[in-house]
Amino acid sequence: MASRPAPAPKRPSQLPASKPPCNTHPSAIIADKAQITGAHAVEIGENAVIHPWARIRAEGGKVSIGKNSMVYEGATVGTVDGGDVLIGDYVNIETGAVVEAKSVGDGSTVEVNAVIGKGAVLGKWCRVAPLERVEAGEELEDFTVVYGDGQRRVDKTTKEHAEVRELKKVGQEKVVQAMRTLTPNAMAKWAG
Amino acid sequence: MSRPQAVTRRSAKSEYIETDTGNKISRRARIEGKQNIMLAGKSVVMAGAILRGDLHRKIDRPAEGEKGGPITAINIGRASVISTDCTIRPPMRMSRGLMTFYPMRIGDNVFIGSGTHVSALSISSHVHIGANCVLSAFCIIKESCKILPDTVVPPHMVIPPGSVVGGRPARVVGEVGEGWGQGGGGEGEEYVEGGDLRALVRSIK
Repeated sequence: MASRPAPAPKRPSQLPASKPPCNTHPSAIIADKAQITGAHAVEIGENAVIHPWARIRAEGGKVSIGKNSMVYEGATVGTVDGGDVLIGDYVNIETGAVVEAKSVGDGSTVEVNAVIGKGAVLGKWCRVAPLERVEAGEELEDFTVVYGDGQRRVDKTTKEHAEVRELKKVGQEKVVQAMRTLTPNAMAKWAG
Repeated sequence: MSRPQAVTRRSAKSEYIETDTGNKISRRARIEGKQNIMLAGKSVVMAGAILRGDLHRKIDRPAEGEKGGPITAINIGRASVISTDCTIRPPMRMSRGLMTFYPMRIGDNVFIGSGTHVSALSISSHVHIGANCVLSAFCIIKESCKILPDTVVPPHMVIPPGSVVGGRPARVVGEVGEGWGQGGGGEGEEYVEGGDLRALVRSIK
């Protein structure tokens, strides 16, 4: 299998300028129309799901996506010049979100159209509400919820009850399962 | 090599593809699962819009004769306009132990502003949605509503008919007047929010 595929027969304009070295777990699901660009390494963990038109930009540094994580359509993960991005396990990056954080902890959710600045660090089980912004370099403790217009609070339910965390993990696994039946896997295009 | 449609003035690379029922779909729209998307007629999908028709409920029973046909994931009514860079995605939730996607229904004369994310379960007719809104999963928008720009409607919220909704999280901030949607729709007139969007659709090239 050649490491750099020949131009795709149907849509040559869709191919990124440079295909980064991808290390994808065989059980990950990557849609055909996902866009993975950049020169640095991209690592996609077990059962991760990358929706069509999600953009992974490994131009500024490597991008690593954890197990059972989902990157939805239109989301952009990765920096142009800012360093590595590490997405944890069970993380949901929803539609249109822009994530340039240094790391996003396990179980976190970045909701629709949220913006996470460069170098920010999100703890575990955090939640950033739609259209919210987390400034560059900011650090969010575990279980923080960013909502309203920049307000922060601590998600006590998830923090104090381990069962809630377990249930969220199970829920996420089911979502991945549902996506697996619906999305044709184009991983062969990106592997290698 | 002759092309049968070369007779019309339409240039070879027009922005919109026009279907038999008068729907106009931009060539730059991003549509997944187009066989599961129903556009009733005279609706417009502008450039950059993402329509996820591939996220639909899976039917377990194989062709019992009752429903062997295609499953509609997204149903859009007549004369509705989906502006640039919107995302229309069917909502999903846990049902009987499995994550399933529910079909989404958008009514007639619905204007969805640019950059909006729509995951609502249903949007009734004559609704005007501003730009950059977020309609989270399973929200229900009833008739003749107006959603201000930059609104975030939380999941499962039901917006009663005739309300003006704004803010993050969305709250009902007023009611649309009695004249909502009246006037407009005629040739050459400015279109009116909530009114007949057919003139607007006709003017989009």
